[in-house]
Amino acid sequence: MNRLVIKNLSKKFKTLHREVTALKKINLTVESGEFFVLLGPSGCGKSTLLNIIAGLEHASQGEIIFGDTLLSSVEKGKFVPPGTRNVAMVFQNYALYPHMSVSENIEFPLKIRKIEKTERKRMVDEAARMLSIDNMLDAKPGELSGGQRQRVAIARAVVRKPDIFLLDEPLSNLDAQLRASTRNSLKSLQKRLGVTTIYVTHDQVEAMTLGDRVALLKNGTVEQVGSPNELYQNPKNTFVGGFIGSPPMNIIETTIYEKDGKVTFRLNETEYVLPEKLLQKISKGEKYKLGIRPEHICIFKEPVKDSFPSKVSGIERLGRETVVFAGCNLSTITLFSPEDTVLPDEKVYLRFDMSRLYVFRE
Amino acid sequence: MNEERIQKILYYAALIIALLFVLAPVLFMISMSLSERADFLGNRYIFTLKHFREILTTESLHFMRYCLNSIVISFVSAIICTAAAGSGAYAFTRFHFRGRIWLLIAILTLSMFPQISIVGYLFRLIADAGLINTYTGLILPYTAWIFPLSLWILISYFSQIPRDLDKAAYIDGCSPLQAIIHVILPVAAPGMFSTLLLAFISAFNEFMFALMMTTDYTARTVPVGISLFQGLHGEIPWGAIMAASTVTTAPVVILTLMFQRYIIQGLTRGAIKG
Repeated sequence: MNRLVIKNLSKKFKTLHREVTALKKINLTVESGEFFVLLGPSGCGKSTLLNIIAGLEHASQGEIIFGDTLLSSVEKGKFVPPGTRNVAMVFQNYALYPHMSVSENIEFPLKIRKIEKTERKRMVDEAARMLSIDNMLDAKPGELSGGQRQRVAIARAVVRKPDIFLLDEPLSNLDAQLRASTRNSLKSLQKRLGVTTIYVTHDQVEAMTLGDRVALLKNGTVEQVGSPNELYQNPKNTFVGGFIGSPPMNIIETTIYEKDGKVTFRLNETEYVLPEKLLQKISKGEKYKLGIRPEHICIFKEPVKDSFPSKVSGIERLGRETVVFAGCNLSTITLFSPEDTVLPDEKVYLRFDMSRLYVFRE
Repeated sequence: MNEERIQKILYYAALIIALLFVLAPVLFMISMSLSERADFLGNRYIFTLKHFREILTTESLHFMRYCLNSIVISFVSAIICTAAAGSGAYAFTRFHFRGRIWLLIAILTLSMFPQISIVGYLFRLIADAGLINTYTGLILPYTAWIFPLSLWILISYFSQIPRDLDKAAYIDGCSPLQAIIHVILPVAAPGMFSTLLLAFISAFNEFMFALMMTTDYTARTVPVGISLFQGLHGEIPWGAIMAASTVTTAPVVILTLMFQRYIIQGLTRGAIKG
C-alpha cells in the first residue's frame, strides 16, 4: 500500500536576527486513500509541513517516504524535486496562471509532462466535466468568480491523477455558503478518486467534517492525531480541548483537594466530588484544570440538585439557541440555553454533566 | 451662479493654464518650424514646409543618420537593460541571499551620481577602450545609467507576482527555467514592456554622454546632432532646428500616448496593492 510516512521531520528557518524552529521532530503516517487534515492556529507550521511534503521547501532534518520511494531524506542527502513527486496542490489564492485560459491552465501540467495532444484534450475535458466547468474553458481566470477559480484550481490538480493531493486552506477565500457546499463536493470528489489527500486548515469545522483523521499542530509539534471523533471525545490536553468544538471546551481553573477521604473540587463555592472514572487520571501534588463542553452544561433559573449559582455576563442569540456566558471560579464559561429568556446580569444555576467532565494536567 | 458652477469654471481655468504652461514651448517649436522667418519679424506669418524639406534632404546635415543612430543605440540599450534588470529583479524577489538589501541600496545610490560628475572619467575610459564615436561607446554607458531605474521598477513589478505561482509551476512539473519561461515571464510581460519603453525614452533623450562620446555623424545621436546644426555662414538655423526637434519629438510622444497605461502602471506598481 502507498502510505506516506513522515519520520522525525524538523525545519528551522534562519532570519536576520535569530533561528526559528517551525517544525520539531514530526512523525506522521498517512494511509493510502486517506483524507488527512493538518489543523492548527496560524503560525503552527502546518503550511510549512505541506510545502516540505510537496518538495517546495527543504527540511532541516528527517525523512519523507511514499510507498517504497524515499522522497526526501536530509540524512541520506536525497531530494526528489516537486515536479517528479507526482503530487498536486491547490493553493489558498488558487495560483491560476493569469495569462492562460481555463483549459490551458488545466492542460499545463500535462503539457510539461509531454503527454500527447489528443490525450491531453481528453483528460482536460474529463476533469472539467467532473468539476462542471466545461462551459467556461475559454475564459481567463480573471473573468471567473472565486468559486469558479477554486474549481479550476482543483481541476488542474486532479487532471493528472496525482499520487498525493495537497490542499492549502483551499476554502478560506470563499464566502460562508459557498464554503459549505464546496466542502461537501470536495469530500465526495476525494472519495470517488480515492487519492491520498492532505488538507491544511485552521478551521476546526472543516477538519471535523472533511477529515478521516486529523493532526492538530501547535508551535511546530503534533499535539494529537486521531479521527475527528477521538479528538472531540478524548482531547489529550487543554489545547486540543479548546481548539476542537464550537464554541470550544470550557477550561476551568480549580484546586483539587482531599476532604473527608474524598477527592473534591469547588465550582463557585459549591463543593463537588470528582467522578470515579477521573480518579485514575490524577495523582497527588500535581495541578489540574477541569474541562467541560458547553453542550454538557444545563442552565436553570431556580436551584436544582447538584447545581451551583452563577451570574450571566453576556448572551449571544443565534436563533435556534442562545449562547450564554457565565462566571465560574475565575473564568467565564460558555453554555447553551434552549430558551432565550436568559438576561444579562441575571442570577442562574448551572449543572455540569459530571460524566462528561475532563481533567487536564497543567 | 451657483457654487458648483464656479467650481467647474475655476477647475477648467486651472487646467487650461497648466496645459498652456506645459504646451507653450511645444507650440512655439512647431510654429517656428513652419514659419518662413524664425524671428516672426515681417508683417505676417508665412507658412512653409521648407525647413522640414531641408532637414530631410540636405546631406550635410546628416539628420537621417542621427535618427538611425539614436534609434539603434536607444533600442539596443533598452533591450540589454530590460533583460538584465528582469533577471536581476527575479533574483532579488525570489532568493533571499545575504546582503540583498545592501546591494539594492548600493545600486540605487550609484544611480544618484550626477552625470556630469562621472563624464570626465567615462570619456577617458571609453577613449582608452577605443570606443569613442561608436555605437558600443554609447550603449555601454547608457545601459549602466538606465539599469538602476529599470531594476527598481521591475523589482516592484516582480514582487507583486505571487510566490504561489512559482510554486504551482514547480508542482506542475516545471524546472526553474521552465517556470520562468512559461509562467513568470508572460505574467511579467506588461511590466517588462513598460520598462523597455521607459529605458528607450531615457536613452533617446540623453544628451551629455552623447555629446562627449561622439565626434561626428557615425555615432552622433539626434539631440546632440540638432544642437550642433549650423548654417552656411555660421548662423544658427532656428527653422531647421525646430523642424528637427518636432520630427524627433513625435515618436516619443506617440509611443507614450499609445502605451501610457503600461507606463503609468509600471511606475506606480507596488505603490498600491493591485
